[in-house]
Amino acid sequence: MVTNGVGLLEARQVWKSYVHRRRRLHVLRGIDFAIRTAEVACVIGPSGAGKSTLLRVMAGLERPDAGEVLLDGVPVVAGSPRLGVMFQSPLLLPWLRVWENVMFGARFLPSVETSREQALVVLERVRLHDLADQPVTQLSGGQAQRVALARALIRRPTFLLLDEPFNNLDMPTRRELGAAVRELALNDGVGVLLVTHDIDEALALGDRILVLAPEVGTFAREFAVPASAPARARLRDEILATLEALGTTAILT
Amino acid sequence: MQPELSIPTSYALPQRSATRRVSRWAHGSVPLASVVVLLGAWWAVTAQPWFGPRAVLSSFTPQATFPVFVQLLSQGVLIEQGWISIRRVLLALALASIVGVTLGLALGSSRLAERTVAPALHVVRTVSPLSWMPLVIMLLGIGDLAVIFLIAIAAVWPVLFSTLGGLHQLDREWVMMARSVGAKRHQILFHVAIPAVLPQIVNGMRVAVGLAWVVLVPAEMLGVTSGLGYWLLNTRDRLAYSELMAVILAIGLIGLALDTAIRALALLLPGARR
Repeated sequence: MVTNGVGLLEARQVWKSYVHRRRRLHVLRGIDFAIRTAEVACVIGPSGAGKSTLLRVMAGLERPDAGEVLLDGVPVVAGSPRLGVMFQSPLLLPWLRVWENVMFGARFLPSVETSREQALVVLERVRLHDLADQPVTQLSGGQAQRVALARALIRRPTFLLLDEPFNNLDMPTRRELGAAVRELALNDGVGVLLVTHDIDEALALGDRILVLAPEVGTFAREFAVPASAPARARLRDEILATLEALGTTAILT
Repeated sequence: MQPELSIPTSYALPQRSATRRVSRWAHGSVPLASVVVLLGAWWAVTAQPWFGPRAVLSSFTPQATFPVFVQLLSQGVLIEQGWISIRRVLLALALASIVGVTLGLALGSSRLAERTVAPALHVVRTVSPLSWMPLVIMLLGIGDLAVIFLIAIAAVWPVLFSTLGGLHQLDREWVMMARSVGAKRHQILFHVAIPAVLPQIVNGMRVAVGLAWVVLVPAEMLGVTSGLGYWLLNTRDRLAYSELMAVILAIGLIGLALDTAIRALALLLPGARR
């Protein structure tokens, strides 16, 4: 079992704005939503819609202007032991070897064992154990993202927050890593929040899809992803129609 | 044992190529070639009649210098005086590194501190280290301490500004990643920022070694009675020009050795894996 608990990660009336060129830009305006363990919730929207901001706020990495993010009723802080985060790039530390990068994920957690053996166990799950002693500079993009996934998993997170982590990967590697994330939700009960601008990725991996409306700063629609392929194709059209109504279809395929 | 996730493996580690071996050979031989060219130029220049009167000139030639160099080496003079100078430079470098890295990290961690302090530091930096000589002698007296302090003043700037520059280039995403795994401010400093800027610190130290060695000679002319700088003055006063050239040769060779040593040291640091 990977997770260290069951629970609910929820955003309550979250507002977030930035000052850009002396103008205050409201990115999130009263976001309300929750994700449960053992489900994959996908947030889609075009670039600049505030998806990454939402994820960082959910991870406690940015403080909302108003509202709160709660994990089982307790406010989330950066580095919460029950959260694992993956970013667009793997952000591996080049002076550390593969297993040391994995261990870095649990280094500051008193509750998790931080031995090489523990790192090797997690690396085995992402099938990189025989590269454990390699410098990370020798890894391919896909291998580096697997190490980043292992770094998140060594924390035994209840929730995994993914900020477009498959963006720069080739299609087969994208599918493989996507399948791995789906397995984590199905088999290990991890709750996954996946931020993406790829509608097909969201349809393939998600249980739910939330469409973040740009400039509006709230979810325009929420869709449950059906199991059958024809129903998913119809949902795809429906989501595209929603986005078209919002004036943002260009980047979503 | 936890089950594997369904991710196939596809590892192909880069192999060391013949091109890489050739470039490594070329990389090693180029510095040697430049030393040979330098020696050749020395010989060619001192062999020219327009360089000076033959009697004086003969003392400056490589032919006259090398036997004296070997003699001073076998007598232990160069080793003894060289070690005194090296010890002063190393102590000054240690002092400059501690002050430079600490100050660089402190300023780099706070934008307000940098904005406040950096202009004053730039003012002090532009003053030649040798300008501090009278003040340093008044405060510390004549001796090792004054020499070490003067060298440290020259060596501190490259270390400080390399550290600061390294922090400016630090990938902010690394900091966010570290925060996401629960690292606190001081843990980010020790586990992310310092290892990340280590290559810049080492580069700063390489520049510092060069500057320290340049400042050493005039600093050792400050009334001390030992060290290669003092020995240089001594040979000049005795009109022993071949000895003077031998000491200059020793200064150059030790400078090269120190630079090589610090580069070798840099390869042992974790940053060398990058």
